[in-house]
Amino acid sequence: MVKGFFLLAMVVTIGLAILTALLLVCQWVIYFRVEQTMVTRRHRARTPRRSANE
Amino acid sequence: MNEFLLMTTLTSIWCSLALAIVILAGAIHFWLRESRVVVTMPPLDRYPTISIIVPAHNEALVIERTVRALLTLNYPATRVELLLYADNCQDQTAQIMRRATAAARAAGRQVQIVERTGTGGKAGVLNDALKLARGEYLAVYDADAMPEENALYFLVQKLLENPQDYVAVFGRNKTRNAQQNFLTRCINQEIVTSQRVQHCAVWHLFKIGRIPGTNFILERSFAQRIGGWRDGALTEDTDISFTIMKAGKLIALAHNSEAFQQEPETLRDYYRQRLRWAKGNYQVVGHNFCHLFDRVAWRVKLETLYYVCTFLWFNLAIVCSDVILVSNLAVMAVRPWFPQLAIPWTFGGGNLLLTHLLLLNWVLMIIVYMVQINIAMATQYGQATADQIWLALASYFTYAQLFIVVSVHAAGSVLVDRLLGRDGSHWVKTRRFAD
Repeated sequence: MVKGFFLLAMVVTIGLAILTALLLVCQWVIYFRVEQTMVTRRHRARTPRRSANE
Repeated sequence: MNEFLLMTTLTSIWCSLALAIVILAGAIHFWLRESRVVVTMPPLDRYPTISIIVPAHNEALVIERTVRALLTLNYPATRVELLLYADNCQDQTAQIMRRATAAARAAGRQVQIVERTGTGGKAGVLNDALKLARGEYLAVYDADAMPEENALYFLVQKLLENPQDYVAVFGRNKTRNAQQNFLTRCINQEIVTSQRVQHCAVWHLFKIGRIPGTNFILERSFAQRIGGWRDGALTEDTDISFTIMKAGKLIALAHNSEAFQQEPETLRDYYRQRLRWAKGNYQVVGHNFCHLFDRVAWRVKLETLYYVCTFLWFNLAIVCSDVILVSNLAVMAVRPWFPQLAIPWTFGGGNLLLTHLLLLNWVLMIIVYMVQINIAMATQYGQATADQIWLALASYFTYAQLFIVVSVHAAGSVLVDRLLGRDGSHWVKTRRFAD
Protein backbone atom coordinates (compact mmCIF):
# COMPACT_ATOMS: atom_id res chain seq x y z
CA MET A 1 0.00 0.00 0.00
CA VAL A 2 2.85 2.37 0.87
CA LYS A 3 4.48 1.62 -2.48
CA GLY A 4 1.28 2.56 -4.31
CA PHE A 5 1.05 5.73 -2.24
CA PHE A 6 4.67 6.56 -3.08
CA LEU A 7 3.85 6.37 -6.79
CA LEU A 8 0.78 8.58 -6.29
CA ALA A 9 2.86 11.11 -4.33
CA MET A 10 5.43 11.09 -7.12
CA VAL A 11 2.78 11.77 -9.79
CA VAL A 12 1.17 14.55 -7.72
CA THR A 13 4.54 16.19 -7.00
CA ILE A 14 5.64 16.14 -10.63
CA GLY A 15 2.20 17.45 -11.64
CA LEU A 16 2.49 20.25 -9.09
CA ALA A 17 5.96 21.21 -10.33
CA ILE A 18 4.70 21.49 -13.92
CA LEU A 19 1.59 23.34 -12.78
CA THR A 20 3.64 25.85 -10.81
CA ALA A 21 5.67 26.72 -13.91
CA LEU A 22 2.48 27.07 -16.00
CA LEU A 23 0.81 29.24 -13.38
CA LEU A 24 3.79 31.58 -13.23
CA VAL A 25 3.63 32.05 -17.00
CA CYS A 26 -0.13 32.71 -16.86
CA GLN A 27 0.38 35.20 -14.05
CA TRP A 28 2.87 37.20 -16.12
CA VAL A 29 0.65 37.13 -19.22
CA ILE A 30 -2.37 38.39 -17.24
CA TYR A 31 -0.25 41.01 -15.48
CA PHE A 32 1.10 42.45 -18.75
CA ARG A 33 -2.31 42.36 -20.43
CA VAL A 34 -3.92 44.24 -17.54
CA GLU A 35 -1.13 46.85 -17.68
CA GLN A 36 -1.54 47.20 -21.45
CA THR A 37 -5.31 47.51 -21.19
CA MET A 38 -4.99 50.22 -18.53
CA VAL A 39 -2.63 52.20 -20.76
CA THR A 40 -5.14 51.94 -23.64
CA ARG A 41 -8.01 52.89 -21.34
CA ARG A 42 -6.20 55.96 -20.03
CA HIS A 43 -5.37 57.00 -23.56
CA ARG A 44 -9.06 56.76 -24.52
CA ALA A 45 -10.16 58.53 -21.35
CA ARG A 46 -8.70 61.77 -22.72
CA THR A 47 -11.83 62.05 -24.85
CA PRO A 48 -14.96 63.27 -22.93
CA ARG A 49 -17.09 60.50 -21.42
CA ARG A 50 -20.89 60.33 -21.76
CA SER A 51 -22.70 59.87 -18.50
CA ALA A 52 -25.83 57.72 -18.13
CA ASN A 53 -27.48 60.68 -16.40
CA GLU A 54 -27.36 62.65 -19.65
CA MET B 1 -3.46 2.21 11.17
CA ASN B 2 -1.15 5.24 11.38
CA GLU B 3 -0.07 4.76 7.78
CA PHE B 4 -3.67 4.45 6.61
CA LEU B 5 -4.67 7.70 8.38
CA LEU B 6 -1.64 9.49 6.94
CA MET B 7 -2.43 8.33 3.41
CA THR B 8 -6.16 9.16 3.70
CA THR B 9 -5.39 12.63 5.02
CA LEU B 10 -2.87 13.42 2.30
CA THR B 11 -5.06 12.00 -0.47
CA SER B 12 -7.97 14.14 0.79
CA ILE B 13 -5.77 17.23 0.71
CA TRP B 14 -4.74 16.38 -2.85
CA CYS B 15 -8.43 16.12 -3.77
CA SER B 16 -9.00 19.62 -2.38
CA LEU B 17 -5.99 20.74 -4.38
CA ALA B 18 -7.49 19.21 -7.53
CA LEU B 19 -10.70 21.17 -6.94
CA ALA B 20 -8.70 24.37 -6.39
CA ILE B 21 -6.81 23.74 -9.63
CA VAL B 22 -10.03 23.31 -11.64
CA ILE B 23 -11.28 26.62 -10.23
CA LEU B 24 -7.95 28.33 -10.86
CA ALA B 25 -7.90 27.06 -14.45
CA GLY B 26 -11.38 28.51 -14.99
CA ALA B 27 -10.28 31.85 -13.55
CA ILE B 28 -7.16 31.95 -15.71
CA HIS B 29 -9.21 31.26 -18.84
CA PHE B 30 -11.63 34.01 -17.83
CA TRP B 31 -8.91 36.56 -17.13
CA LEU B 32 -6.81 35.79 -20.20
CA ARG B 33 -9.87 36.92 -22.17
CA GLU B 34 -11.13 39.73 -19.94
CA SER B 35 -7.74 41.31 -19.32
CA ARG B 36 -7.72 42.47 -22.95
CA VAL B 37 -11.16 44.08 -22.81
CA VAL B 38 -11.16 47.84 -22.56
CA VAL B 39 -14.23 48.72 -20.49
CA THR B 40 -16.62 51.10 -22.22
CA MET B 41 -19.90 52.51 -20.99
CA PRO B 42 -22.40 52.93 -23.81
CA PRO B 43 -25.92 54.13 -22.90
CA LEU B 44 -28.12 51.16 -21.93
CA ASP B 45 -31.14 50.05 -23.99
CA ARG B 46 -33.32 50.81 -21.00
CA TYR B 47 -32.92 51.84 -17.40
CA PRO B 48 -35.15 49.67 -15.16
CA THR B 49 -36.37 51.30 -11.97
CA ILE B 50 -34.24 50.34 -8.97
CA SER B 51 -35.06 50.46 -5.25
CA ILE B 52 -31.79 50.74 -3.37
CA ILE B 53 -32.08 49.30 0.15
CA VAL B 54 -29.56 50.10 2.86
CA PRO B 55 -30.03 48.18 6.14
CA ALA B 56 -28.17 50.07 8.87
CA HIS B 57 -27.93 49.09 12.53
CA ASN B 58 -25.90 51.62 14.56
CA GLU B 59 -23.85 52.69 11.56
CA ALA B 60 -23.15 56.32 12.46
CA LEU B 61 -19.45 55.90 11.68
CA VAL B 62 -19.88 54.90 8.05
CA ILE B 63 -23.39 55.70 6.83
CA GLU B 64 -22.75 59.24 5.58
CA ARG B 65 -20.13 58.30 2.98
CA THR B 66 -22.27 55.41 1.78
CA VAL B 67 -25.37 57.60 1.38
CA ARG B 68 -23.40 60.27 -0.48
CA ALA B 69 -21.95 57.64 -2.80
CA LEU B 70 -25.43 56.24 -3.48
CA LEU B 71 -26.74 59.70 -4.34
CA THR B 72 -24.01 60.23 -6.93
CA LEU B 73 -24.33 56.91 -8.76
CA ASN B 74 -23.99 57.09 -12.52
CA TYR B 75 -27.62 56.06 -13.13
CA PRO B 76 -30.64 58.24 -14.01
CA ALA B 77 -31.81 59.77 -10.73
CA THR B 78 -35.48 59.50 -11.73
CA ARG B 79 -35.09 55.70 -12.03
CA VAL B 80 -33.75 55.23 -8.51
CA GLU B 81 -35.60 55.04 -5.21
CA LEU B 82 -33.47 55.09 -2.05
CA LEU B 83 -34.77 53.26 1.03
CA LEU B 84 -32.59 53.86 4.07
CA TYR B 85 -33.39 51.72 7.11
CA ALA B 86 -32.18 52.78 10.54
CA ASP B 87 -32.81 49.40 12.15
CA ASN B 88 -33.12 49.48 15.96
CA CYS B 89 -30.48 52.20 16.16
CA GLN B 90 -29.30 53.66 19.43
CA ASP B 91 -26.89 56.10 17.79
CA GLN B 92 -27.13 59.01 15.33
CA THR B 93 -27.63 56.87 12.20
CA ALA B 94 -31.12 58.21 11.33
CA GLN B 95 -30.13 61.84 11.92
CA ILE B 96 -27.04 61.44 9.74
CA MET B 97 -29.19 59.84 7.02
CA ARG B 98 -31.55 62.84 7.12
CA ARG B 99 -28.70 65.34 7.01
CA ALA B 100 -26.90 63.55 4.16
CA THR B 101 -30.05 63.31 2.04
CA ALA B 102 -31.56 66.74 2.79
CA ALA B 103 -30.35 68.39 -0.41
CA ALA B 104 -31.32 65.39 -2.54
CA ARG B 105 -34.83 65.27 -1.03
CA ALA B 106 -35.22 69.02 -1.62
CA ALA B 107 -34.23 68.45 -5.23
CA GLY B 108 -37.05 65.89 -5.61
CA ARG B 109 -35.04 62.67 -5.33
CA GLN B 110 -37.02 59.65 -4.10
CA VAL B 111 -35.53 59.03 -0.67
CA GLN B 112 -37.25 57.40 2.30
CA ILE B 113 -35.71 57.04 5.73
CA VAL B 114 -37.37 54.36 7.84
CA GLU B 115 -36.66 54.11 11.57
CA ARG B 116 -37.38 50.43 12.17
CA THR B 117 -37.89 48.65 15.48
CA GLY B 118 -38.79 45.15 14.27
CA THR B 119 -36.91 41.85 14.60
CA GLY B 120 -35.14 39.59 12.10
CA GLY B 121 -31.87 41.48 11.66
CA LYS B 122 -30.80 42.23 8.12
CA ALA B 123 -33.17 39.65 6.62
CA GLY B 124 -36.02 41.30 8.52
CA VAL B 125 -35.13 44.72 7.09
CA LEU B 126 -34.94 43.32 3.56
CA ASN B 127 -38.34 41.65 3.95
CA ASP B 128 -39.86 44.92 5.21
CA ALA B 129 -38.29 46.80 2.31
CA LEU B 130 -39.68 44.24 -0.12
CA LYS B 131 -43.21 45.40 0.85
CA LEU B 132 -42.34 49.09 0.50
CA ALA B 133 -40.18 49.05 -2.64
CA ARG B 134 -41.67 50.03 -5.99
CA GLY B 135 -38.71 49.49 -8.31
CA GLU B 136 -38.49 46.62 -10.80
CA TYR B 137 -35.28 45.56 -9.11
CA LEU B 138 -33.98 45.76 -5.56
CA ALA B 139 -30.37 46.79 -5.05
CA VAL B 140 -28.83 46.05 -1.65
CA TYR B 141 -25.88 47.91 -0.18
CA ASP B 142 -24.63 47.40 3.36
CA ALA B 143 -24.13 50.56 5.38
CA ASP B 144 -20.36 50.28 5.04
CA ALA B 145 -20.37 49.38 1.34
CA MET B 146 -19.64 52.55 -0.58
CA PRO B 147 -20.35 51.82 -4.27
CA GLU B 148 -18.06 53.11 -6.98
CA GLU B 149 -20.03 55.56 -9.16
CA ASN B 150 -20.60 53.07 -12.00
CA ALA B 151 -21.40 50.07 -9.78
CA LEU B 152 -25.13 50.09 -10.46
CA TYR B 153 -24.65 50.79 -14.17
CA PHE B 154 -22.51 47.64 -14.55
CA LEU B 155 -25.00 45.51 -12.61
CA VAL B 156 -27.85 46.63 -14.88
CA GLN B 157 -25.69 46.30 -17.99
CA LYS B 158 -25.08 42.64 -17.13
CA LEU B 159 -28.74 42.08 -16.28
CA LEU B 160 -29.87 43.35 -19.69
CA GLU B 161 -27.77 40.68 -21.43
CA ASN B 162 -30.36 38.08 -20.43
CA PRO B 163 -33.16 39.47 -18.23
CA GLN B 164 -35.21 36.27 -18.60
CA ASP B 165 -32.69 34.06 -16.81
CA TYR B 166 -30.70 36.54 -14.71
CA VAL B 167 -32.95 37.32 -11.75
CA ALA B 168 -30.01 38.60 -9.77
CA VAL B 169 -26.66 40.17 -10.62
CA PHE B 170 -23.82 40.72 -8.19
CA GLY B 171 -20.63 42.72 -8.27
CA ARG B 172 -17.53 42.63 -6.14
CA ASN B 173 -16.44 44.28 -2.94
CA LYS B 174 -13.07 45.87 -2.38
CA THR B 175 -11.53 46.43 1.02
CA ARG B 176 -11.54 50.15 1.74
CA ASN B 177 -9.34 49.89 4.85
CA ALA B 178 -6.86 47.39 3.35
CA GLN B 179 -3.75 49.27 4.45
CA GLN B 180 -4.76 49.57 8.09
CA ASN B 181 -2.74 46.65 9.52
CA PHE B 182 -1.50 43.09 8.82
CA LEU B 183 -4.96 41.62 9.37
CA THR B 184 -6.73 43.95 6.91
CA ARG B 185 -3.98 43.36 4.32
CA CYS B 186 -4.55 39.62 4.63
CA ILE B 187 -8.33 40.07 4.43
CA ASN B 188 -7.82 42.18 1.31
CA GLN B 189 -5.79 39.39 -0.30
CA GLU B 190 -8.39 36.83 0.64
CA ILE B 191 -11.24 38.93 -0.75
CA VAL B 192 -9.44 39.77 -3.99
CA THR B 193 -8.58 36.08 -4.45
CA SER B 194 -12.08 34.81 -3.68
CA GLN B 195 -13.71 37.34 -6.00
CA ARG B 196 -11.20 37.39 -8.87
CA VAL B 197 -10.53 33.64 -8.82
CA GLN B 198 -13.43 31.84 -7.12
CA HIS B 199 -16.41 33.93 -8.22
CA CYS B 200 -15.13 34.52 -11.75
CA ALA B 201 -14.23 30.86 -12.30
CA VAL B 202 -17.46 29.43 -10.92
CA TRP B 203 -19.48 31.85 -13.06
CA HIS B 204 -17.31 31.28 -16.14
CA LEU B 205 -17.31 27.47 -15.89
CA PHE B 206 -20.76 26.66 -14.52
CA LYS B 207 -22.82 29.89 -14.60
CA ILE B 208 -23.13 29.65 -10.84
CA GLY B 209 -23.21 32.85 -8.82
CA ARG B 210 -23.32 33.51 -5.09
CA ILE B 211 -25.03 36.64 -3.88
CA PRO B 212 -22.76 38.53 -1.53
CA GLY B 213 -24.24 40.54 1.34
CA THR B 214 -23.92 43.76 -0.61
CA ASN B 215 -23.64 45.27 -4.12
CA PHE B 216 -26.21 43.15 -5.92
CA ILE B 217 -29.58 43.57 -7.62
CA LEU B 218 -32.50 41.17 -7.46
CA GLU B 219 -35.78 41.16 -9.40
CA ARG B 220 -38.45 42.41 -6.98
CA SER B 221 -41.28 40.24 -8.34
CA PHE B 222 -39.05 37.15 -8.06
CA ALA B 223 -38.10 38.01 -4.47
CA GLN B 224 -41.80 38.31 -3.66
CA ARG B 225 -42.56 34.96 -5.33
CA ILE B 226 -39.98 33.11 -3.23
CA GLY B 227 -41.18 34.79 -0.05
CA GLY B 228 -38.18 37.06 0.47
CA TRP B 229 -35.32 36.33 2.81
CA ARG B 230 -35.31 33.63 5.50
CA ASP B 231 -35.69 35.38 8.86
CA GLY B 232 -32.88 34.52 11.24
CA ALA B 233 -30.52 33.10 8.59
CA LEU B 234 -26.93 33.83 9.66
CA THR B 235 -25.83 34.10 6.05
CA GLU B 236 -28.99 35.31 4.33
CA ASP B 237 -27.04 35.86 1.10
CA THR B 238 -25.95 32.22 0.68
CA ASP B 239 -29.40 31.08 1.70
CA ILE B 240 -31.19 33.11 -0.98
CA SER B 241 -28.58 32.08 -3.58
CA PHE B 242 -29.64 28.46 -3.12
CA THR B 243 -33.32 29.43 -3.35
CA ILE B 244 -32.70 31.22 -6.68
CA MET B 245 -30.78 28.27 -8.10
CA LYS B 246 -33.50 25.85 -6.97
CA ALA B 247 -35.96 27.92 -9.01
CA GLY B 248 -33.77 27.27 -12.07
CA LYS B 249 -32.70 30.92 -12.40
CA LEU B 250 -29.21 32.39 -12.59
CA ILE B 251 -27.21 34.81 -10.47
CA ALA B 252 -24.92 36.61 -12.91
CA LEU B 253 -21.55 38.14 -12.15
CA ALA B 254 -20.81 41.72 -13.20
CA HIS B 255 -17.11 41.75 -12.39
CA ASN B 256 -16.69 45.46 -13.16
CA SER B 257 -19.23 46.54 -10.57
CA GLU B 258 -17.34 47.51 -7.42
CA ALA B 259 -18.19 48.65 -3.92
CA PHE B 260 -15.73 49.57 -1.18
CA GLN B 261 -16.43 47.73 2.03
CA GLN B 262 -14.94 48.05 5.48
CA GLU B 263 -13.34 44.94 6.98
CA PRO B 264 -12.64 44.10 10.64
CA GLU B 265 -9.49 45.72 11.97
CA THR B 266 -9.06 43.66 15.11
CA LEU B 267 -8.67 39.92 15.54
CA ARG B 268 -11.66 39.77 17.88
CA ASP B 269 -14.02 41.45 15.40
CA TYR B 270 -12.66 39.33 12.58
CA TYR B 271 -13.16 36.16 14.59
CA ARG B 272 -16.75 37.01 15.50
CA GLN B 273 -17.64 37.87 11.91
CA ARG B 274 -16.08 34.74 10.46
CA LEU B 275 -17.58 32.54 13.15
CA ARG B 276 -21.03 33.81 12.13
CA TRP B 277 -20.25 33.19 8.46
CA ALA B 278 -18.92 29.70 9.15
CA LYS B 279 -21.94 28.82 11.30
CA GLY B 280 -24.20 30.21 8.58
CA ASN B 281 -22.45 28.07 5.99
CA TYR B 282 -22.85 24.95 8.15
CA GLN B 283 -26.55 25.85 8.44
CA VAL B 284 -26.74 26.07 4.65
CA VAL B 285 -25.00 22.69 4.32
CA GLY B 286 -27.52 21.24 6.79
CA HIS B 287 -30.52 22.72 4.98
CA ASN B 288 -29.37 21.60 1.54
CA PHE B 289 -27.60 18.29 2.21
CA CYS B 290 -30.66 16.35 0.99
CA HIS B 291 -30.23 17.91 -2.47
CA LEU B 292 -27.25 15.66 -3.07
CA PHE B 293 -29.72 12.80 -3.38
CA ASP B 294 -33.03 14.25 -4.62
CA ARG B 295 -34.13 15.59 -8.01
CA VAL B 296 -33.08 19.21 -8.13
CA ALA B 297 -31.28 21.54 -10.58
CA TRP B 298 -27.70 20.33 -11.22
CA ARG B 299 -26.25 23.66 -10.14
CA VAL B 300 -27.77 23.18 -6.67
CA LYS B 301 -26.25 19.69 -6.48
CA LEU B 302 -22.84 20.97 -7.55
CA GLU B 303 -22.95 23.90 -5.13
CA THR B 304 -24.07 21.64 -2.27
CA LEU B 305 -21.30 19.18 -3.10
CA TYR B 306 -18.80 22.05 -3.05
CA TYR B 307 -19.98 23.23 0.37
CA VAL B 308 -20.06 19.71 1.81
CA CYS B 309 -16.55 18.94 0.52
CA THR B 310 -15.09 22.25 1.69
CA PHE B 311 -16.71 22.51 5.10
CA LEU B 312 -16.78 18.83 6.07
CA TRP B 313 -14.35 16.64 4.15
CA PHE B 314 -11.47 19.02 3.34
CA ASN B 315 -11.67 20.81 6.68
CA LEU B 316 -11.43 17.51 8.52
CA ALA B 317 -8.44 16.49 6.39
CA ILE B 318 -6.63 19.76 7.16
CA VAL B 319 -7.35 19.44 10.88
CA CYS B 320 -5.95 15.87 10.81
CA SER B 321 -2.83 17.00 8.92
CA ASP B 322 -2.27 19.83 11.41
CA VAL B 323 -2.58 17.38 14.32
CA ILE B 324 -0.10 15.03 12.62
CA LEU B 325 2.37 17.85 11.97
CA VAL B 326 2.17 19.36 15.45
CA SER B 327 2.41 16.03 17.28
CA ASN B 328 5.41 14.95 15.17
CA LEU B 329 7.16 18.29 15.75
CA ALA B 330 6.45 18.11 19.48
CA VAL B 331 7.99 14.64 19.76
CA MET B 332 11.00 15.74 17.69
CA ALA B 333 11.50 18.73 20.00
CA VAL B 334 11.63 16.63 23.20
CA ARG B 335 13.52 13.67 21.73
CA PRO B 336 17.00 14.88 22.72
CA TRP B 337 15.89 14.45 26.34
CA PHE B 338 13.67 11.40 25.83
CA PRO B 339 15.38 9.35 23.07
CA GLN B 340 13.08 6.38 23.69
CA LEU B 341 10.08 8.32 22.25
CA ALA B 342 9.05 7.24 18.78
CA ILE B 343 7.77 9.72 16.19
CA PRO B 344 4.04 8.92 16.11
CA TRP B 345 3.16 9.50 12.45
CA THR B 346 5.57 8.01 9.92
CA PHE B 347 5.69 5.64 6.98
CA GLY B 348 8.32 3.62 8.77
CA GLY B 349 11.55 5.10 10.03
CA GLY B 350 13.61 4.15 6.97
CA ASN B 351 11.30 5.59 4.31
CA LEU B 352 13.33 8.75 3.83
CA LEU B 353 12.65 9.05 0.11
CA LEU B 354 8.90 9.32 0.67
CA THR B 355 9.46 11.82 3.49
CA HIS B 356 11.55 14.03 1.19
CA LEU B 357 9.02 13.69 -1.61
CA LEU B 358 6.17 14.78 0.68
CA LEU B 359 8.23 17.70 1.94
CA LEU B 360 8.80 18.83 -1.66
CA ASN B 361 5.09 18.33 -2.29
CA TRP B 362 4.25 20.63 0.64
CA VAL B 363 6.65 23.32 -0.56
CA LEU B 364 5.08 23.18 -4.04
CA MET B 365 1.60 23.46 -2.53
CA ILE B 366 2.69 26.61 -0.68
CA ILE B 367 4.07 28.02 -3.95
CA VAL B 368 0.79 27.23 -5.76
CA TYR B 369 -1.10 28.98 -2.92
CA MET B 370 1.10 32.06 -3.36
CA VAL B 371 0.86 32.06 -7.16
CA GLN B 372 -2.92 31.74 -6.95
CA ILE B 373 -3.05 34.88 -4.81
CA ASN B 374 -0.69 36.68 -7.16
CA ILE B 375 -2.78 35.75 -10.20
CA ALA B 376 -5.76 37.33 -8.44
CA MET B 377 -3.69 40.41 -7.64
CA ALA B 378 -2.44 40.64 -11.24
CA THR B 379 -6.02 40.99 -12.49
CA GLN B 380 -6.33 44.23 -10.58
CA TYR B 381 -4.20 47.14 -11.74
CA GLY B 382 -1.67 48.25 -9.15
CA GLN B 383 -2.15 45.32 -6.75
CA ALA B 384 0.52 42.90 -8.02
CA THR B 385 3.50 44.09 -6.00
CA ALA B 386 6.47 42.37 -4.34
CA ASP B 387 4.94 43.16 -0.94
CA GLN B 388 1.90 41.08 -1.83
CA ILE B 389 4.12 38.05 -2.55
CA TRP B 390 5.71 38.19 0.91
CA LEU B 391 2.36 38.86 2.49
CA ALA B 392 0.95 35.75 0.78
CA LEU B 393 3.78 33.67 2.25
CA ALA B 394 3.28 35.10 5.74
CA SER B 395 -0.50 34.67 5.53
CA TYR B 396 -0.14 30.96 4.70
CA PHE B 397 1.35 30.28 8.13
CA THR B 398 -0.78 32.75 10.07
CA TYR B 399 -3.99 34.13 8.62
CA ALA B 400 -4.92 31.03 6.57
CA GLN B 401 -4.58 28.83 9.68
CA LEU B 402 -7.19 30.99 11.44
CA PHE B 403 -9.77 29.61 9.04
CA ILE B 404 -9.24 26.16 10.53
CA VAL B 405 -9.73 27.43 14.09
CA VAL B 406 -12.90 29.27 13.07
CA SER B 407 -14.25 26.24 11.18
CA VAL B 408 -13.66 23.86 14.07
CA HIS B 409 -15.24 26.30 16.53
CA ALA B 410 -18.26 26.83 14.24
CA ALA B 411 -18.73 23.09 13.64
CA GLY B 412 -18.62 22.42 17.39
CA SER B 413 -21.00 25.28 18.09
CA VAL B 414 -23.54 24.12 15.47
CA LEU B 415 -23.31 20.57 16.83
CA VAL B 416 -23.90 21.70 20.42
CA ASP B 417 -26.80 23.94 19.28
CA ARG B 418 -28.39 20.91 17.64
CA LEU B 419 -27.83 18.60 20.63
CA LEU B 420 -29.15 21.08 23.19
CA GLY B 421 -31.90 22.48 20.97
CA ARG B 422 -30.34 25.94 21.32
CA ASP B 423 -31.20 28.80 18.95
CA GLY B 424 -27.87 29.36 17.22
CA SER B 425 -29.06 32.11 14.92
CA HIS B 426 -27.96 35.02 17.08
CA TRP B 427 -26.72 37.70 14.67
CA VAL B 428 -23.44 39.33 15.72
CA LYS B 429 -22.99 42.63 13.96
CA THR B 430 -19.55 43.43 12.57
CA ARG B 431 -18.02 46.43 14.36
CA ARG B 432 -17.24 49.48 12.19
CA PHE B 433 -14.23 51.76 12.38
CA ALA B 434 -13.79 55.45 11.64
CA ASP B 435 -12.24 55.94 8.17
